[in-house]
Amino acid sequence: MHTEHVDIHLPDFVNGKLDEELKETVESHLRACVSCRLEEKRVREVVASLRGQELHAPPPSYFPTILPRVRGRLNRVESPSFLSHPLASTLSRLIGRLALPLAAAAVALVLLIRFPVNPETAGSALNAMKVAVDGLSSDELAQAVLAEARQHPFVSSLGDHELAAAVPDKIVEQHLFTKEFYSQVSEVAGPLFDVTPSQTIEGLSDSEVDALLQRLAERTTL
Amino acid sequence: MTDRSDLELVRLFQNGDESAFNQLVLRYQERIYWVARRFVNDHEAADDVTQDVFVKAYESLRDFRAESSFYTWLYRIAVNIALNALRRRKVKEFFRIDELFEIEDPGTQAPDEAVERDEDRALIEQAIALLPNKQRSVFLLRFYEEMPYEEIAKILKTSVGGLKANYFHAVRKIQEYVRRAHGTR
Repeated sequence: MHTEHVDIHLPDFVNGKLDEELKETVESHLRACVSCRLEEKRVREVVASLRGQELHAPPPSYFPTILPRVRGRLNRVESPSFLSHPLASTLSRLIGRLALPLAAAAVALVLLIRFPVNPETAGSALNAMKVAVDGLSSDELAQAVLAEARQHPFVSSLGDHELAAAVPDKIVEQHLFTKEFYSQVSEVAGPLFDVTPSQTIEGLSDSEVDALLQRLAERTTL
Repeated sequence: MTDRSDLELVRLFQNGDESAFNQLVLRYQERIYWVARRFVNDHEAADDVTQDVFVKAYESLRDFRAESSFYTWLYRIAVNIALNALRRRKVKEFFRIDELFEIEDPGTQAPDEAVERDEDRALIEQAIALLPNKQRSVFLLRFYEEMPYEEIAKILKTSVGGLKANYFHAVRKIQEYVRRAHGTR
């Protein structure tokens, strides 16, 4: 008995998503059709692979943050004064997603204040940050970043060795000294403290830095 | 409030009850997140998409006429925003620090198994990413969301007819991609 090939039903067949009638039709066809049986075998293999690729769930603390952040964005959209700020559209995203990088930024800010800048080399804010951070060895800086990173729940379960191995090479060398990194920090710090983007981080007072750190500490998401 | 239907909440919102929108967000946030996550493949981008979906929904909900279910309407927004996010995705972001901390518990499996699993995962993600938008959408909504074809057709504004073929071809392409990749290792 000739029946049409059933290949397009096979993903649903393998996943048990066919109704009884269609399922019986497919089973009947498979008993008689070598090529569809071969196709079924392939589909089963790929479905098994796909089923084995479960994504890592975000921490349980993540989902309760969605509504407040959506509301925050809606409130800002409704606020003309905030709308007028050129960085408004990026702020909520940055704050929401960059808690960990911002923690590193906060450390850099603290270091900047703690270690005086050499006026001869402080021609730009980038240089100022670099000079300040250069006052520490990589290991010392890594420890500082590590201490901040430790505050974040996502990394709190990792061992010191894992974090410390990653921090000096990757964060310090590839991120802290980049112009883009400084630019991002400026973008975030500006709206937070109601300063224009052209004002540099060195202009922040201790209390403003404390306020930034406080804001960062309140974040619960990556 | 939590036992009200979607449509009742929509009507309340349209009559000025802001808290009704909150209930809709709470009701759908996880499902929308996971749809977004399947599309864009990482938490940060999925978080962005999830927020964008609800902001867009808020802005459009007053004009919602219940021509489809709220659920279908919301998923349509999610798929569109996720696809747009993929189109707009830049090659590289400045900060990839979070990736440095995506470290599996090293005590739970042998290193070789972990590497192999990560490679398989990456291969499948690449294969899905290479699917044409329509096939990818059908595949993700059918395979992971287990949606009926009729619902997918409404979300994608297409007929049911070709969806099964799209789904099959998506599965087949993933299988072929993985097979070829394994053959070249």
